[in-house]
Amino acid sequence: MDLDSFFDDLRRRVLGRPVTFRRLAANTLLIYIDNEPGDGTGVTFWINPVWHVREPGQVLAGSRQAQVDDEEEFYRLGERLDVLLGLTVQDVTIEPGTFDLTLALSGGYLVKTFVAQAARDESWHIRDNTTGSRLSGSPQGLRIVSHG
Amino acid sequence: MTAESALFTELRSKALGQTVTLAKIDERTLLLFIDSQPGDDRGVMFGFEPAWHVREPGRVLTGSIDTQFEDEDPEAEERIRRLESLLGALLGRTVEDVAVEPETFDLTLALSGGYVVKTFVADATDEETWRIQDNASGSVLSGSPEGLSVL
Repeated sequence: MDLDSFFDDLRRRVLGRPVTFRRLAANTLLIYIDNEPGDGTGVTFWINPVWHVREPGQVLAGSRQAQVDDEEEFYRLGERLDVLLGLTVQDVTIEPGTFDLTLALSGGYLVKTFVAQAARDESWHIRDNTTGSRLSGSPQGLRIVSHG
Repeated sequence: MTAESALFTELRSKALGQTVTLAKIDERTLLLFIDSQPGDDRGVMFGFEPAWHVREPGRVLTGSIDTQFEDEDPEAEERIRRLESLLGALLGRTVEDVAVEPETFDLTLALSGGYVVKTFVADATDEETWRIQDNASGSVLSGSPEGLSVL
């Protein structure tokens, strides 16, 4: 499958579907659509720094806030992101030139990446949990990584 | 019109059509001098705090993580010099637009030839994301996720 078809397929599968789980793995934000960790179904967005989450009118949180040693502060940040649970995916777009990802959710919420390092290996990936294949974005472009 | 938006309009008008005369990295801050050099009492200076990036047509040229080094990295100075050399691509370019994004108050500076400098909020509690200084009057407009302020 080519890049465009794979992206279109992943996008179609998530449109209108709800966020069912969220996780912070250090400062990487994972957003699960129609699945929870280990389910082997649905689609998961892995959002590497730099990213932020917007609610209507303001930024709710950003990736630098997840770079903390204080466990309580890290936990509180995760709790703030619980507002995403149950929201549905309205759109998934990739910006030309930077290959940054924007995930638009219901209620005016947005999750956005931002390239802050030209040679970065991966800014984000979208994983099809059924096959294990993923679409990976970096400042260099898009690529499909099969299974794993 | 608020004092903040009045100062933004004034600074934007001073920068439009003027050229980038110096691009410098100070710690992790990107400084762009417009029609001026450090210490001059004319022109405008833009300061971009992390996260920021510089785009050339079709790709990202460099970003604020490229300025992040380990303490006492022996190659830090050389790497900064290489980055500033890359930023040499901005010199002589004219300012085509200065825009502030609603909601995040991120700043975009559009330069001739399709070059763009942008900030991005990576911490909702940051006190300053960017600043624009009028070198003649010393007035400073500062942007943060909370909004604009005159310093």
